[in-house]
Amino acid sequence: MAIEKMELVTVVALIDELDTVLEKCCESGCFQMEPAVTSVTSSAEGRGIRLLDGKNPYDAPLKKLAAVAASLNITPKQSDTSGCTLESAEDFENFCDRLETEIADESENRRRAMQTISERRGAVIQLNHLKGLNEEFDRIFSCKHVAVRVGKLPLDSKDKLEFYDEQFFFVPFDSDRSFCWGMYFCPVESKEIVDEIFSSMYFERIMIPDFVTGSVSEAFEKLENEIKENTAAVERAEADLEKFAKENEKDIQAAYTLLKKKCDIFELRKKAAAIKDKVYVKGFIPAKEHGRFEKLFEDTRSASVMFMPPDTDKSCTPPTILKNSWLTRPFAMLVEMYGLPDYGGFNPTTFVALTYTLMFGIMFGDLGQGFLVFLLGLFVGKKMNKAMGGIMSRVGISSMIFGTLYGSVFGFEDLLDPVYENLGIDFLPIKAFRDTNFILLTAVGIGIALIVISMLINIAIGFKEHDYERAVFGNNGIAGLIFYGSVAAGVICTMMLDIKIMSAPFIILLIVIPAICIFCRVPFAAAVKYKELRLSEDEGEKMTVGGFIVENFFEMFEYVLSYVSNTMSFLRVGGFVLSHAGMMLVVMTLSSGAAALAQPLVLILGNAFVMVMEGMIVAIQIIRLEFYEIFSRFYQGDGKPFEPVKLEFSQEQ
Amino acid sequence: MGESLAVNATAAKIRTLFGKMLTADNYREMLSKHSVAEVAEYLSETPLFSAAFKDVDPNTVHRGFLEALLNKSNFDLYLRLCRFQGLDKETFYSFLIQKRECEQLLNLVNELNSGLDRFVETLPGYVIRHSDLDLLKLSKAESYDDLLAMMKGSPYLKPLKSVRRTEDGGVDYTDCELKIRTFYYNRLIGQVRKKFSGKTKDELEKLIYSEIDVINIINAYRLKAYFGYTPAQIKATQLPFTRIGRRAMDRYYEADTPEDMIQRLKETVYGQKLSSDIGYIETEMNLSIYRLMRHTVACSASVPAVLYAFTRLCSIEVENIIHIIEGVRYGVEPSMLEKLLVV
Repeated sequence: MAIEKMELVTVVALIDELDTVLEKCCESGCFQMEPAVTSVTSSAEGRGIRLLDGKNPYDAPLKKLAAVAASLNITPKQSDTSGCTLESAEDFENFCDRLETEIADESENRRRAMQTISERRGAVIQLNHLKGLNEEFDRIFSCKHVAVRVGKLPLDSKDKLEFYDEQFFFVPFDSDRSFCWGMYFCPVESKEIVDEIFSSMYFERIMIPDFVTGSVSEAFEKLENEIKENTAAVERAEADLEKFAKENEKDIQAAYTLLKKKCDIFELRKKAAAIKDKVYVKGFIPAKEHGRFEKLFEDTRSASVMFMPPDTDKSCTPPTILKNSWLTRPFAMLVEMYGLPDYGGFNPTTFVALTYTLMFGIMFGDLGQGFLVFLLGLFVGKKMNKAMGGIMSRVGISSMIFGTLYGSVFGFEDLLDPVYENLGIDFLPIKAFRDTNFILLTAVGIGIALIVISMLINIAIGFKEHDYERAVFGNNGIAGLIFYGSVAAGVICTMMLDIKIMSAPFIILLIVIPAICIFCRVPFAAAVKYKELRLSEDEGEKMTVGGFIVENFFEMFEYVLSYVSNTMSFLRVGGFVLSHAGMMLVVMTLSSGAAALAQPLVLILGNAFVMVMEGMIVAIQIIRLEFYEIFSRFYQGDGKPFEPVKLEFSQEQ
Repeated sequence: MGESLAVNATAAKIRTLFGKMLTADNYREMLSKHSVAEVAEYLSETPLFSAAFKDVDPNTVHRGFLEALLNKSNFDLYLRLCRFQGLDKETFYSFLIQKRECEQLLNLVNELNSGLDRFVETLPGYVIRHSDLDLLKLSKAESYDDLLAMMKGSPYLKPLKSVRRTEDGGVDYTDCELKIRTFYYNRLIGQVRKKFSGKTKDELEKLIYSEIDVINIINAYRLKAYFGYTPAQIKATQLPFTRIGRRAMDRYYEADTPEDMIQRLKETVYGQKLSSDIGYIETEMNLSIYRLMRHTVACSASVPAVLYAFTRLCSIEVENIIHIIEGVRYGVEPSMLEKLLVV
């Protein structure tokens, strides 16, 4: 499977038809717009090229209309605009102004009542701190010779008060973690000095509003009544507004939809460029959409569409769309998670699909649980996430196949034994605790095979891109493949098969020479590419022989280490076979220890727990193996996603 | 060894708090605020200051109170860290209380000299509670002699007595500052040498001496650049401690011009990262201390050193915030303010 072929498209039209062109591009649903010019340089300006990055005139009315809709409790949603006759930004402004004028009185009444409620509620909070005051506010504030201030004083400052000689006294009423609430009294003549003292101690005055009169309890009662009255006023105003909203909602929704569309289209103008009276719009479409896209512009007055190969314009990179079969398509999600391949690069989805399914089956092999995962996958795919469901159903089948090989059904490891006996197959089922070595060694073998395949893919990509360092001399190139393959073969033959192949010629030809190639990959690749011996790829960089040796010694060390660690990493594939069998053994032990009636419950809960926990761990561990052990050998993942322009209706404005 | 291992949890706790400190991005966000209330609101949502600002109404809070709250918050944090594993029982760990005590004494002397009676107003409540001195009682002093009489029995009496008097019966404030600071650092270094040994002692000495060097470098530069002091006059006003050696510091003091001073500073450990275009010497020097303290908090295995460095970082953080608050209050350009930030 490969990558979708793209085409570079340029649409040229008269400037007055720009909005129509952009609308058609959005309508197509397959046009990824690119900036027509990356920047207007002085030479470009000399040729008369200009960007259309003026201020969006629809932006202000859109915000205004959204505010009006919000004040009427109308949630904008996409609706039919056929009845809407508004055209220019000015028309929309006038429409908003008319709505605002019509609801002005009710909105003002509501605002005023809500403000009063807010003020009264604020006063209630302040008065709560003055509950200790048993005197009428009017009497206190009407003193002629005594100045009074109500407020809060930081607790830190309270202790300092007694060290002042000025004539004042502070009456505390209440205190919280940081402040002491109260009032201070002083002679009117020394008011300024005392105010300054308190201000320097960060006393925060609370202005008791004029509407608070009488004693504290009377004030509370009065405030509560006022809050009730104003709440009723708010309700009346809201009822009137609701009536207005119902009568005008259709018009508002249509205007909003049209205005949003015009605003979004205008935003797209910023990527277009103009020369004299013509505009240029550039972008990519999938090659298969060529005909449909061309047809869209047939009824326009001046637009002409030009199709070119995607690599014609070096200033923009073609986007990548992965082309996969139905069987492997869900696994594209994992590839996208890592990063898309370059346009024209290698699509690893099929490889991921095969390896992921295989490893999941091995690590989570259980006929019963696999079947449940398969069913769950069908449900998830239909109701929640198609790709996720697709992966689950495929790995579920794999789990069932390996579960059959292991003879495991919901943790019952002997259930399939009679079947195999009847069929006369004596090497099956594979028992985790009996064939432990076989399982672990097979896991390492799978690891070696996958690493070798990854290297082969890397070599193919390297040759395709004429990158000889990568294809021939690199640690994942031919040299790396021979080195790794020979060491692996040598170890397997010597230690397991008792075949002595590690002879001097074998070591020199298949291990030492490839190692030297990897060590000297930069100068060797430069010799092939530039026909000269260089220690660094970059001509300007001055690399000394000593520096070259030190740098490559450590890199070589890292490569060898990564060969070993990457191979050993696949031991986890075998490890999880044992872990799964072990966990199910625990469930079976718990079940057999439980009362007869509780046994099914323990079995169900145990299976559910193992499925959720181990299923998730296995899924994550395989992603890790794919991304670190496999992808790191051949895959870059720096492609550009395909994001066609479209008019999306959102309420964010 | 056992003791140091026992208090390692304090170092771990400090490192967690260190990760919650304000970053350059946070400062940039604060610089974009338009009022002190907005800055206060922003701070009330940060992990380290949210508790301190819990009861504060950002819309009515006084700028001075905001600054006092920040300092109090840091002091409370320091106390919490000291109490976490009972470190507050050791005299060394009262270094911040002692520092604040010295600052208040100097404030008091300044007020006595100027004849203003505002000492109590600016006296932080948390210092009153934790200081061994009865600072509220001291606020009653009407003259320097009164103060000396009240200080009887206090370790500060000796340095205060040795301060040069002026002809009008007051005191030479610069001399007083030098004596009090010398006394503070002498006592601190004495405590370090008595209590600690090995790597911990070396690290703490390095931190304290570096801090002193930076104070001396900034002072000397100011005296040369703004008051035209001679090398002899400069040397007489410097704290008598150094990390980089007397000779290196003397060479710096003896420079003919402020530009020459900068050139000579570049030869020292503090000037290695100086840019060619120095904005403010204070910011540049505090940056060098900031780097050292950050490194200590992140890498040191010594709890006393980590705590000392963290406390200094917290002070720098508060100084940065105060710069921003003042800048926002008086409408200073954010780019100008950014140059003052130590980050």
